Amino acid sequence: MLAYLIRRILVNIPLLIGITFIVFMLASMMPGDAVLAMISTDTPVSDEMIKMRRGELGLDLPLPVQYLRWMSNVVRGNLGYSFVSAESVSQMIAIRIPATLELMGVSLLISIVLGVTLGAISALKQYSFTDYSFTIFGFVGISIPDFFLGLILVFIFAIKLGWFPTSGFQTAGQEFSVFDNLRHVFLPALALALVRTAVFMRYTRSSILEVLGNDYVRTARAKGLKETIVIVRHIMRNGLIPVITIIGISLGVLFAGSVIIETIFQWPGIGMMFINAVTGRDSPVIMGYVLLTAVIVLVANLVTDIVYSVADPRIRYE
Amino acid sequence: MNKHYKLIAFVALIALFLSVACAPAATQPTSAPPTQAASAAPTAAAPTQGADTAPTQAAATAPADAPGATSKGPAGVLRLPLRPGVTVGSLWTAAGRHLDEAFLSGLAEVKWTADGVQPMLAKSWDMEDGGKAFVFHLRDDVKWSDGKPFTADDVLYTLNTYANPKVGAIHAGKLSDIVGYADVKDGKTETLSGVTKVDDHTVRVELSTPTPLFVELKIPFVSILPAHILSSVPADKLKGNDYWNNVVGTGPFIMTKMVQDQLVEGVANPDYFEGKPKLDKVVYQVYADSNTMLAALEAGEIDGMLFQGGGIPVDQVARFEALPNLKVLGNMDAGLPTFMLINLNKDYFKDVRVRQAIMHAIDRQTIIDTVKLGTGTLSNTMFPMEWARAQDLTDYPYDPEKAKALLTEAGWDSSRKIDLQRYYTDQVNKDTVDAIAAQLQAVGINAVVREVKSAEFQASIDDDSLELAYAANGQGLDPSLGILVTGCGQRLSVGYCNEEVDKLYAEGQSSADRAVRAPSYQKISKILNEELPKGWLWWEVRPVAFDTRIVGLAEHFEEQPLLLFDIPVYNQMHTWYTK
Repeated sequence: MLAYLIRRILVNIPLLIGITFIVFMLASMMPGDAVLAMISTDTPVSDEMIKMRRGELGLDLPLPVQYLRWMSNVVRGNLGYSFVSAESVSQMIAIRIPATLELMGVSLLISIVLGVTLGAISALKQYSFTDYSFTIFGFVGISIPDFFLGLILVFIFAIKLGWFPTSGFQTAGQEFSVFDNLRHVFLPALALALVRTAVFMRYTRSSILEVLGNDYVRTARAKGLKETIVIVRHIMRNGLIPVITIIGISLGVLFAGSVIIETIFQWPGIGMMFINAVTGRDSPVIMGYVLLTAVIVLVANLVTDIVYSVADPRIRYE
Repeated sequence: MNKHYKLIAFVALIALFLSVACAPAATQPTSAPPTQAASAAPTAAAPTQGADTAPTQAAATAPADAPGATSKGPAGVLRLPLRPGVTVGSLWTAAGRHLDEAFLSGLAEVKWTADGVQPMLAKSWDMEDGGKAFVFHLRDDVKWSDGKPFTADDVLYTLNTYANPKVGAIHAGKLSDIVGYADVKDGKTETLSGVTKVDDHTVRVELSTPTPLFVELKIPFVSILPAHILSSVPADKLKGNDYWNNVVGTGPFIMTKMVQDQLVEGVANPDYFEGKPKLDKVVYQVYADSNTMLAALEAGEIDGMLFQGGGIPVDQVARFEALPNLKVLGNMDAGLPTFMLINLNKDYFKDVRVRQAIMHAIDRQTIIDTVKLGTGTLSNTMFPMEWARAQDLTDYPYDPEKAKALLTEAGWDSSRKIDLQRYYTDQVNKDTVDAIAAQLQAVGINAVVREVKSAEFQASIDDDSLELAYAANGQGLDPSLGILVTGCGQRLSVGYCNEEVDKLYAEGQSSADRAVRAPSYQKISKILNEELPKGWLWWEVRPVAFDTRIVGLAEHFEEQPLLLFDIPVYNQMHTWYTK
């Protein structure tokens, strides 16, 4: 197991370097640079200022040199400093990541609880009215992009009904309170969760249906076990293994999806930081975000594999 | 029983999703009516209104069929929106300068009525030698919010800091008239030799050329910083310094909290030199997306919509007017000449007849009347202020036949594809530029619209790939700002250079008296009208709205004749209060 882990981690290192190199080149190929992006198009600015700022940031160096400079800092644990605010990138990420994790956590919780429950019910009552309703819900859920859903939720629940705030992390001008914060997280988390719920539900349903037909389920029932025990111990435990994979894979997708949702809801996480960095051509911040995302996706995949072996004793890594 | 419950739940669920799915469809009629837009663009395929309306637009253009939120802000608290990046510090971001209205002060600040400056930290000043030097008499009753007195040292430190290239202040160039600026800029020294301390409350500033309007046009761009805190910070470490999270200032409010990407909070400064503010607290909330900001305004979560967020799109003004708690200034003059930016370095645009053809090809009045819902004023030159414009300007009426004839005379190649950049992303501006492109195509200018990000647009000026762009430039403060768009060698002049214009700009600044200055600008306006370095379109409005629960906020903006970009405006903030 340990050897397997080490091997997996080692394989990921060149992968990471490749990812950062490609993203660095792509980011540098975007038209314009940090200095030009800082100019407000409405405000006249002199050329002199632009030259001054460009020299200050070292944007005049050749690209490979810029990349190597960045890489050598990263190896030493320094993600660099934002071109826009001069803040340390690792600090920027550290300040913002709790908000993103909160958003992801709440939405994952909503989608797992709802998705697995509805999926299981759907499968156990296959071809019933309930099953069909959930199926329709699933298709609708999969078809609606989360940012669009987010706008709809704001329109209905924040503007028309006034139940939840339109955006933000906490009510401005008030002391921070957990309740207030949860009111703010609800709409963005729901927007992120509903799409995911539909996906989890469909996977749970099909995987449980597959298990239902297995011999050991029939055997369990034949032994005279109570139906709840059959469902929990025999059907769910086996049926949920593929679902774990989907949840693991969706961590990365969730991370990416939160970029747009955070911007729409002004949620002060790293997704919004990333969008602002792209618009501002702030490459140290872009690179910091990409590196972090890549690490998270790779780690999530690894954890998924490990959880696999816990859930299914047949799977062993040697 | 059980079954019924499920059925109800299912129906409710479907109903929710149907209402969700239908909501955006119902919003279409509120944006520019397709038929009108089509008439503005006779030969174009009907401008795309339906499916590809930007998603962020969809929710925001929803009809106002419900009453909307009423004011619900806490008493004594003012809540305003800002763009991200403002928290970097006002030396480096244009939008960040709006924080200075609350937390810092200048020697003199532009008044909200836009008719001159208000003495602030300087109680008065004397001009010497027709503008060769200024002596500022500072207030001696001002304290920094940490209790230390404000003195001439702060002014010296601030001017040197703004000019220092290691700091990289966005408005460093405003100090270029000060004696010694060139040496500081070249890194030979860090002190402006032209700035001297006469005594603790008197500062003398010597200028290299007489600039009678130095205080009116340059000083408002400088917010005075505390030397006792910052002078020990090396110039290149000033950006990112913790000071910007804990601004010690002289403004009406004292910064108490700064959370990046979220908010900035301040409490009333009891020792504010103009008097203790009536409000207890000010909160600036950061919004990355202007539609999010509009939704927050609609829901009563913020008290105003400043132009830093881009204003309310004109097709949404009616919706905001329907909200009882808001005062909407739908015709706020943005001081914003809007024009076709033409790259005069390109040979095919050098013939003035081609530029005349562009003017005659565009049916500007119809676009204003239809797509822009009647907002904006047709322009034939640049300056938004009437006193700076000549009376006998040539009009360029819509005349496609004349445009075609002019193009033929100039030997225009109608097979040439012309790239037309647009960096605005709202529906009204999209429709506007689509209509312009269609009208240009109709006379044989094969303009193809391309949406770009601001940085991309700026880069196209640098590498000279720019052909045409739909652009605007804020000049509400003074016509002298026009030199940045039409002066020789300026970035936004893109190839235009007329030495007479440069000379006239210099003459226009030789006096502080508007009557003396006006003829110079009027002559410029006539030249720009004849030579058409840009295709003049109109002066824009930027609708803004304010919650009437704050007394003073809407009132002050109502008196403001046009929006002022990029400078803190003295707005008597300390007199505002909540109902």
